[in-house]
Amino acid sequence: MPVPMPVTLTATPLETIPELGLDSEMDRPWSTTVWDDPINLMKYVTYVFMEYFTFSKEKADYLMLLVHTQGKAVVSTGSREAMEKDVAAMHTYGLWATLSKD
Amino acid sequence: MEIKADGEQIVIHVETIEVKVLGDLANQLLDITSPDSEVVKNEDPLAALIGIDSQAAKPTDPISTRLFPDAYPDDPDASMEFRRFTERSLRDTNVTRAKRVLADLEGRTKLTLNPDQWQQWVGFLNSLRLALGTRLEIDQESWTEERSESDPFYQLHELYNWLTWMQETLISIGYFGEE
Repeated sequence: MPVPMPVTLTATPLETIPELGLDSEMDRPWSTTVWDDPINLMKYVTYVFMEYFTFSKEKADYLMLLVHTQGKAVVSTGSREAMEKDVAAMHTYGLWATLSKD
Repeated sequence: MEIKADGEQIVIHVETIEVKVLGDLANQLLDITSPDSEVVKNEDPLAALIGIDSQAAKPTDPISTRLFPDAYPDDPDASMEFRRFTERSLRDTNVTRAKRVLADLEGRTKLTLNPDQWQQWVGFLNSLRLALGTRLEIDQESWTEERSESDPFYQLHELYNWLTWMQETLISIGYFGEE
């Protein structure tokens, strides 16, 4: 699924210049959260985590149960662009996912 | 309906009435997920070509809200920007899946799905269950409840349970190799 990415026009992203005092993406990464919902099947959620994130069955099951019992789970962290890609993919699978900065 | 594995493929035997029901549901899902025809007529053709929805709007009905959710829980502007770049593609994926299912069902009572078709069927059934489950206001407590036959939503609920069985079986057999 194509997700157009923002184009970086400058060679050095502003965030990486310490003098500017801006938050570095590395210091405060973004995360993708998958939320519990009563419709998606537990087995389906495990399948999605294994298939998209290439997690082991054990890790996928663990995260699925975390979603189911805690109401949500962080399934990936990284740059904002990477998290937007993950959230868009989760929406394609029909999972309820959001991204936020920790 | 009977679902079995045959090597890399999944074989589904369907009754004629089941073909009709699934076909009707696929057409309804197409109605819900197709980009609005008026919008398509008026949109910027270049934007459409690269998958940007120049007239994306936050959905107002519960089913569309569930199928096309906000990406940023506390940031409506960022959610709208995300929507402009992704919703068209998400709608297209749903349309492709529903059309795949309609093509597979065409005049057949024995379906043989290869891994790619299997994936599209599982995705189709998931979107369909999201739409029906939202309509039925399924929640954590009520999804296993038996409904009485006098319940106006009894038949819809039976249909939802049947689709749940079908999706669960396809995943168990097609992905986890269970019998």
